[in-house]
Amino acid sequence: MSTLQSHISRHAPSWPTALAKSALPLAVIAVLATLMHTLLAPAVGPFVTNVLCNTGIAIMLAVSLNVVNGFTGQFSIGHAGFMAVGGYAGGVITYYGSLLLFGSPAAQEGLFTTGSLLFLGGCLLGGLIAAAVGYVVGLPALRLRGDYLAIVTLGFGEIVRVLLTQTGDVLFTADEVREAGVLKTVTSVGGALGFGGVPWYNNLFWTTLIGGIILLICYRLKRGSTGRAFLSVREDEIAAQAMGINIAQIKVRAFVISAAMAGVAGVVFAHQPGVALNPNELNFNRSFEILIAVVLGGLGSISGTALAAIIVTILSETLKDPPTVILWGLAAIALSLGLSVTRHFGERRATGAALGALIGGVLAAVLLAAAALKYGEGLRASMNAIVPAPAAGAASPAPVGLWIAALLLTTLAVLGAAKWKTARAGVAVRCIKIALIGAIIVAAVEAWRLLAGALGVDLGAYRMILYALMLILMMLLRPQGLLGIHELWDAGRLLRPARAGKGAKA
Amino acid sequence: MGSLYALIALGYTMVYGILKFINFAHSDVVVLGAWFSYVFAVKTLPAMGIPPDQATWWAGGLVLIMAMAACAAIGFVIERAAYKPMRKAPRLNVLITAIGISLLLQNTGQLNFVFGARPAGMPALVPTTPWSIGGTGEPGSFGVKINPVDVIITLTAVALMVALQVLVYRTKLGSAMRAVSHSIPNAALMGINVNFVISFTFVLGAALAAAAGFLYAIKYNLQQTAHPSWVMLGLTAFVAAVVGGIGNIRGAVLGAYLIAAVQQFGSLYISSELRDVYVFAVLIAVLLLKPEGLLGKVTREKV
Repeated sequence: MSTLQSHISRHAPSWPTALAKSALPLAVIAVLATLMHTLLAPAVGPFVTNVLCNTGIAIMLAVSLNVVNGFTGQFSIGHAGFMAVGGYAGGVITYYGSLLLFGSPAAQEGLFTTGSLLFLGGCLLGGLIAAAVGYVVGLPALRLRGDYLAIVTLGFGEIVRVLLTQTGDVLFTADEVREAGVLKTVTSVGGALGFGGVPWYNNLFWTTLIGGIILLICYRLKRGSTGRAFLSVREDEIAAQAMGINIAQIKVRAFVISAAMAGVAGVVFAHQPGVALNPNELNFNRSFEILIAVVLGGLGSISGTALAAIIVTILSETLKDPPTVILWGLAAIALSLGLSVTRHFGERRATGAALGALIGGVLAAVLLAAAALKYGEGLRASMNAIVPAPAAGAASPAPVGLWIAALLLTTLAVLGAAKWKTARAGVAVRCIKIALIGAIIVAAVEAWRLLAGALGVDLGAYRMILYALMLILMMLLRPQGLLGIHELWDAGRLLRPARAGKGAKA
Repeated sequence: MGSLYALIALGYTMVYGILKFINFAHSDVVVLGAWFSYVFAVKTLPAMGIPPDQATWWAGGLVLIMAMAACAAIGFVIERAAYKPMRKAPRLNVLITAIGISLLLQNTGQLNFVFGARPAGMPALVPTTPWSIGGTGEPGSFGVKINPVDVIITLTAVALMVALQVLVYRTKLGSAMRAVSHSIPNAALMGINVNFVISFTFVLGAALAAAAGFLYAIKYNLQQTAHPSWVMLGLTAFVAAVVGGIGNIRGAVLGAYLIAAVQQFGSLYISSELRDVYVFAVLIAVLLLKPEGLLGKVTREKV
């Protein structure tokens, strides 16, 4: 053992190198965040920035749920509860802190002010409190099997919601706060009327920064020993125990980490412009939206979950009056990615799949570019989120051409994977299944839009029906989600020419 | 209230007993049952020449039977379409499917051309003036006021439960159901048509849920189908089933009345806002202390 250790310590990088290597992604994230905030945000206008921020928040929530549902295989459907706890904690800090320090709860201009320090402090504290709550929720998880755990977590979400509606009214002036003392202040968060005064500190910079950090944490988690422990618990608890993993500790750890990240996401959500925290909005429907992003993207896949979160958020935004082309583009992306990383193809056939994926990706890019050009001005409309684009008229000539394009796309994707002479039947079937899912999603949305045009009804309610149908279909056709447990970046491996005789990598 | 929970809990219990699977969509069948009975009462009765306000007992019974039939059909369709293909799938996937169906039912029912998004009140199918037992109805006199609606609810529920009891313990079909809940392969070996029994269980559960919905509707106001009060109703009934021992019919009934009592007394003495919290508190307590429920069997996991 000593020779092994000396061997390792000889080859391990010196500590400055190690530090630089770990810090590099953080630096990249910081640069990206700055770029997005200074260049992208003014370019696309406040409405799209808002959508992007919401997407970022959805990604954060979805990957945090992925830690406990996907990596560890537990079934937790009360995630909105953690988000609520964190959000309210952070909101309390920022709001009452602003009241006490500055006298007014309005947000301060500029990026790095004392107010944003409060915001960051709120993030930290929100995350910590949510982590503590996650610990409490994780403890019963040790004794409960899947179905019961689902009910208990659901109950937890509801309990949080009910308790939050019982809180007192928001205090408005600094004097009232000083009078009331700490305990009463902390519990005056508006009750059922919502916590409306939280200053809106969030913008694209913070969303990207915090979101990037959370994604980085998830990635490191998955690759490290903790992630492997999580995955082993998911696959077979008894075998994991036999290997010496303390599954009780692992499960609780999963809950704590997941809750902490959800809490931070909740704080960011609370400070999002246009949001007033309301416990009745952070209910089971919200948990379900997060859950569907995780299930759709693939239980256990960070990139898949993030992608699905993007899809779900943009779906919610644009399904009020969808610019069709964007949706086709999204479906095409989803399709091609699902194809490209399915390991079932094996190394040799994978090149065919990757080819199909490339073609799909190119077509998707073309479609998206067309959409951007066509609807660019419409998308830079006002901040009012009710009508994102006056696309009703402009979208009608699109459908037929797009149906054809989509058909071509799916055929290409299927052929791309199956055209190599030695393709197996199973491969083709899987391609068809995935293509079918994508096509059904888009067709459903298209049908919905047409129906709305015909009936003139409000489409908001149909959104949940669409989600529900998507979920059921996913479970029937491809239960592991779009990407399964694999990541987006694994596709690179599949593009390299295969060595003869090598099977699929572990 | 306890009777309502009991009817719904029976549905949960039966499905779990047979398939070891918790049917999240069950509470939505209750909602549908309530709305179906509303639709039948308002539309069909007048079509048959009976104005709804002056309906008699047997008209109410007719609505009940129609609602039960409609929900039974829906239960059958759900089972065939969504649960049957997933019989061999891992538990998580089936649960997610059930959630999906639950949301589908809720939101479809809310659409404007189905049931609409506004609450509705059932026409009075049964007399609602309270009876007083002992003493006069004056305030200050020592008597008990009983609303005949409650009496009817309890009596109907009890009648249905007794009928279920007879079915499960005295008939051949009931024996088949019990056999399938013990072991599916062995039941098949004994010549029982397992698919039929499973479908029948779902249908039966759906019918009971419809009855519960109807009974709920004649007492309370009907909210829209996606309203959270329905979710609480179903969830409480599920908790009742778990508390009594899921998979156990008598346990479900016992658990239901217990939970109802806890709810009422808790609301009375502590706080009525936290009613839902009591239910979950009881659930967590039972799951931590006696996970198999009050009347359930302890199953040890074999490694």
